[in-house]
Amino acid sequence: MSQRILEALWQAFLDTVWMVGASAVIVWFAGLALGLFLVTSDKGGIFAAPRANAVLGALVNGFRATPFIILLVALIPLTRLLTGTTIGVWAAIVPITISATPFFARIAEVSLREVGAGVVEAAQAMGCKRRHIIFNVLLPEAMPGIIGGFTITLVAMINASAMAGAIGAGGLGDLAIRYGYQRYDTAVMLAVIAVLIVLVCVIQYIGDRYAHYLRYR
Amino acid sequence: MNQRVGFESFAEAAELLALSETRQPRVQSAQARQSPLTNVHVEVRGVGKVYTSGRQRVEALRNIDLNIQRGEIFGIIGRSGAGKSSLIRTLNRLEDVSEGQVLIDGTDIGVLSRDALAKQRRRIGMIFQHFNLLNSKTVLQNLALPMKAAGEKDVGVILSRARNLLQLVGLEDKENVYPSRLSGGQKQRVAIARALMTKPEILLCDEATSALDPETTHAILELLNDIRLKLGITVILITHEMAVISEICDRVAVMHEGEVVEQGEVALVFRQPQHQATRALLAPIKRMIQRAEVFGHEPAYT
Repeated sequence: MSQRILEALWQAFLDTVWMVGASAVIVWFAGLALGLFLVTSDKGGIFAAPRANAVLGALVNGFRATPFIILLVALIPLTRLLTGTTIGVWAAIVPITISATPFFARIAEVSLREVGAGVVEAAQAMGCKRRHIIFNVLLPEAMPGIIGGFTITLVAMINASAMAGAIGAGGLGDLAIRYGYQRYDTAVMLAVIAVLIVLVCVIQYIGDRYAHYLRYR
Repeated sequence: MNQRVGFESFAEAAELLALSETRQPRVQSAQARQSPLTNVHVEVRGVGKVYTSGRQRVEALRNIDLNIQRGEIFGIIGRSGAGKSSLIRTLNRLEDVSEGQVLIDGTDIGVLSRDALAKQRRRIGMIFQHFNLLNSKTVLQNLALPMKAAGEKDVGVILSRARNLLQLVGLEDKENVYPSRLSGGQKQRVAIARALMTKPEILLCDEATSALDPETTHAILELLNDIRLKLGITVILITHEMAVISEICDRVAVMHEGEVVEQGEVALVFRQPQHQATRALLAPIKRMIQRAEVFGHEPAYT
């Protein structure tokens, strides 16, 4: 593999890390907030608002149901509005974030729901206000599951970033398509896949270890 | 079997269980007997609770009246589904009542605002069957939560109170341990310490010993009695076991199908159970005593 290709590979790797990393920060906060809302606004929740809950739930389902490749194109006007462009790493962050946030919100919701009603009740009985319940009970108790879920989300986002590559976002997916698929350069394709495998393995390993540490201390 | 004869010897034995087994002086109980119902701490007035889900309408509580004295240990007993859990949860308004009032020191807690309720709840500790400790926090962090929620910022104050209480419950060496490393009895001790952090005047025990083995149950009940004597707090507990009632309660209310069917001094209720539900709850003890008679009064293993 030539020096030029190796450089391209390195650049593509950095692009992917950027795209996924920057999106991940937004997805973490937005997804958690959305997940918390879905749990606490449900009937019997500490911020019970069943109507708003149903509306938001439907919205989340809508985004989750739309295939990413369609979302990618459909969001182009929004992307242009937010970033001023529709190509490149920054432009890719918009659709990746918007597709991963509802995904992560649903996963976080499952973990948050697993926090026993009894524990929340105990907190209420000791005079905790709702803010205390969210930050001292719900989030810490659900954290092992949330970390596990976020790991899954990160891997899904790497996947999505490859697709975003198809519309000019750059990154590893873009490289694999341009060299590996369009120029029949199998070596590049395999190299990209190898890099992706390593990347995913590292993320999964770190996520698993951290979740395990939180769960079994 | 001759029911009549069995019942008489049982009544005798029940008296024995309820009276002679008093290890510690029942100070408050004696007071209460001299001047009945003069120091009402918790008053339940005509409380009813209806759950509706869809078209289903379940009447969990019906016209409950209770007067719980300051410093007494008041037991509420009933089989599962009798409504005792709903009742105890109305006392700190984890459950809103459908009708009637719950008065604590004469204040109707039903009308309190959210903030006032949180404040009131800090004066009512609660422990649960499944302990409900936070697994993500150490023992010390668990104890700190109610005080942090109460706005206490001084770590020194929290720490010294937590350590005092851990000593009281006999777990001073476990402060940095996570709950998953504790046994059931130890978890309940931590839960008790946590419930006492905000210096409550009332301790609610929701089936607090039902998940524990008999020996641990005994130890926890001793601890509760000890706490009552040392801190002078009112303890209200619910259980489905008469043995628990006989061990530490001063007075008992028997619940059946959402109603209090009988209440009074434990010894009296044991000696002269009036309601069929009470007799049914006493039946296991009765059977045990009958078996003991068959086996002989002198236990062979001593």
